Amino acid sequence: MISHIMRKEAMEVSRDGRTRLLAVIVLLLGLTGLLAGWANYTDQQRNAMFAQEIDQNVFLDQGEKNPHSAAHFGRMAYKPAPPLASFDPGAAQFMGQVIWLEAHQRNPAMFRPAADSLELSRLSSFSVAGILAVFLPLLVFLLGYAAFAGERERGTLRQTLASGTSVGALFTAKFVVIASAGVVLATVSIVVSTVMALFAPVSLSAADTLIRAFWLICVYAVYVVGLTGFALLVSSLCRHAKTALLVLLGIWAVSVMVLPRIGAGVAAQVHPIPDGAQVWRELRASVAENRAAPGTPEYRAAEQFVVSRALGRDVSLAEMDNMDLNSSGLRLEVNEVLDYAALNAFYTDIYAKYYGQREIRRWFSLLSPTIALQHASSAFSGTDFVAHQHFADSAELQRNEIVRVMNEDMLIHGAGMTTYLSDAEFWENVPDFEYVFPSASLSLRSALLDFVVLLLWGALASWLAWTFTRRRLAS
Amino acid sequence: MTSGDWISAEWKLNIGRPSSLVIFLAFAGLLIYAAFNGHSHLENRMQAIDRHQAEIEQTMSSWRDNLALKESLGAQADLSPRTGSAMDVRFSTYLPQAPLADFAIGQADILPYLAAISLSDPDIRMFSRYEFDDPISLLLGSFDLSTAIVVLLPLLLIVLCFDFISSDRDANRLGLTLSQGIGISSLFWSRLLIRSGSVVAVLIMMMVLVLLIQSGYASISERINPFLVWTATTVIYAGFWVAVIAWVASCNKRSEFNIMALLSLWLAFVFIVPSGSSAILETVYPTPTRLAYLAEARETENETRLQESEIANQFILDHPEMLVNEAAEIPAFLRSSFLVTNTVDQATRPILDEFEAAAQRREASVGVIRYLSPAIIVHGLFNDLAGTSAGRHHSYMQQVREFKAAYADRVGPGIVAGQPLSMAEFESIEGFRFQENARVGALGNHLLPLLFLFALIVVAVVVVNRRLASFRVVGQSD
Repeated sequence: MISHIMRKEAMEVSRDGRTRLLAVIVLLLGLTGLLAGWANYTDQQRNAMFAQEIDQNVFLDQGEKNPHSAAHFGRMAYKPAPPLASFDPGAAQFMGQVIWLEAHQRNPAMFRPAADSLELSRLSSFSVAGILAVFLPLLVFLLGYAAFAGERERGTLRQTLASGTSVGALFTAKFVVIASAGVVLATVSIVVSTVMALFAPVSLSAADTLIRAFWLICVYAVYVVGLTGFALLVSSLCRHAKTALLVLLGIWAVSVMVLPRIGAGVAAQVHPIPDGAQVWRELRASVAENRAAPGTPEYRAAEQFVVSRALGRDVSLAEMDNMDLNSSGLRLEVNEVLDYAALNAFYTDIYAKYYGQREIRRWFSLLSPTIALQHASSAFSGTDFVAHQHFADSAELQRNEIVRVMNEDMLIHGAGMTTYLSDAEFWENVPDFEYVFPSASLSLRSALLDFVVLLLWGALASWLAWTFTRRRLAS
Repeated sequence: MTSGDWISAEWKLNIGRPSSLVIFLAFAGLLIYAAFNGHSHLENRMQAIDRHQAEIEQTMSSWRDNLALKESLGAQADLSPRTGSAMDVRFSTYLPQAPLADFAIGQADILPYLAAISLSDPDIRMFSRYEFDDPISLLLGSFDLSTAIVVLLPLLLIVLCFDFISSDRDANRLGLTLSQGIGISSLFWSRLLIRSGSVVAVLIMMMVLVLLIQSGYASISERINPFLVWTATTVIYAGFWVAVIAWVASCNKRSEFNIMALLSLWLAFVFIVPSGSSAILETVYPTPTRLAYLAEARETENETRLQESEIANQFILDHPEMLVNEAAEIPAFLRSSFLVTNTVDQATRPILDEFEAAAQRREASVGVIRYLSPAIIVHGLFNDLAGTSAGRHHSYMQQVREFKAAYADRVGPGIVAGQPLSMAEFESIEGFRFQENARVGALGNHLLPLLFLFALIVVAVVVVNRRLASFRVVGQSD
């Protein structure tokens, strides 16, 4: 029986000109979004690789130079774009593309692509994920608003039930057909994006990309299930198809267009990020406050640690005091070691504010599943803030390594010299930054709560839809 | 029927219904939140500017005190040898917030509005050190009055007006209503204007309230002129959507058709055309990559350091007057620092010029493409009125760079010669002040598009009236 009803529902859906039109629009937009995203992605990737190569050449070509001067010149850590960024660029447009790795300070990523974009691009996102987030609910609601209300208006609902069709079979068939349309659309988009991502020139395994794609399909499928539940719930509750359509469009406008912005605004009010100038002021103060004074036990221990590490063996304090070392090199590296914790603690505080904002937005996702979808989608695409932090933390480790190599060169080889210059070949000893993307498990941890919220939404909406449909149709 | 009768009837049948009142209340609530959010963003910017100015003032006060001491005591003063160096002078710069800045956040959340000028920092680092905002919040966008008007106003008009005539048609009572002696034209326009007018009235009331309440940082007299332009723009934008609704309604189709058609138009005008145009324009007119800019800057910095003595000699040849009987008083590393920064800035300026040129080419294209969507027209105008447009921020950044270049030209010879600034010379240097020269022109650019919108309204009204003249009530025989 169910298969008959499903066939009939599927035929109605395929014959509906509005549905066909919307599906074509979504596919065309999705294709355009995918091509634009892919062009943007390859461009970004090519630029990052080109800039990294130039940076490498420039760094090696410094000639004889004081290593601390070179440490200030520093290196650049260029952020590669993850392959699935062509599907969902997430907040990549609003995160810097490169981190300046230099002595004494940990810099934020700079050069947000959005700063060079047109201001009208702020009205909406043209990525595949952005298009799906806007149009999937619309498609499902348009397919579902008349499911019961329309049949009731036409009088066919009574006929169908009188012919012996059970409410459960009718509900299931409608649910499956409507949800399938949305799931198929999302799956096709994700599969095409994944196939393109598999050919991306980055160091991410095919297995990892496929795992991410699998989770993306799950996330969008659960989202569609929730939307379908909503559509059927409203359709069964409303007496007229027009009213059901109006209510669903209202829900769509509020949950897709309004609430994500309001959620972001409230989150920014609750966990405000200080302006850049203030951050630097506080950062300087925090570092100065936490840095031990020369001669104190903490400072002496840091000196001992630095010298032991540089020589590759344990050095006692007494031995250290009698060693012939470059005092500037020692002081600079000790300060790096002492500041490392303070700098990291400061950035952890800043990041905690970002995550605080994410928590607030998650509360809003209880009202709008679109927010949970955006979080989970960008997490599995590797374009959320967690992925960015992974890059920033890796870059910071590299910064410490670069500065350490240079300070140790001065410390060991510059003994007794007021102005020490490293050889022109020395720069080849400084390791290159080779970023390895985090695995899908990090994304899963990042998106787990959002996925749970989507699951809850899906389960609740489906249960409510079934409960109310059964009651309404029984009466 | 008189106007009062129409209003009374509409109140009973539509506007006064609990569901409609809830929608109005929700809209008013969203407007209040939008205004609060815009104001909060503005306050944060104002406070940041105040802190920035205070910090620079404190630094420069100390610099001036030391220079005064050096000038009065000479070599007897126990001061750093770099005292009085023009390299240590810092200027505070900021983009003044326009009187209506709380109405539209625009690009103010991602583009710089303050920076310190110092000859120690190359241009490339002047604005890039401030990027700490939460990227996800930036992505989702802020909710301000501009967004509420561009996105929500048409939606609300559609929700309240889509069935203003088709509801009677669907219920087969349109013929009955018209048989009471009411003309279709009168019924059509009265209902539409009363329903849409109520939405616009609520909006304007809320905007006036915002204008009066949130006027702490700018006087009403400063805010009133841009506010009037803002309000006129809002009315024209609302008028456009009312005309679209009238046009769809005059097709004499069922309510479901109306809502679908209107929603499709809303999606197209507010989302698809702006984001699609933006994606296409950014592909057609790409800016040079910032990464290439950075690579160029670093290459130049390295080359300058490797050839510092030749560059210094060239500089001295260009300014021989500075070397006559002058013994260097300022440490040599400051000269190196100046030469490197100055050379890097000069080498990378063509790239920045290319950025400006690409941005201008894009803006020129937006000038054409905006006729495709009223949302683009209104969004751009609102940002210009609020002083938060990308154009104004880019102008600020350009002026800051020009100021720095002029300052470097002025004090550079002294730095290379190792000479401190004199107090008299320092005081003769005027601080940075943003030149607001482009605003009137920027606003003038929007006049034609607004007239275009107005013309569309007029055309739609004419078409609708023609259709109404031959309007057939469904189910009624001729």
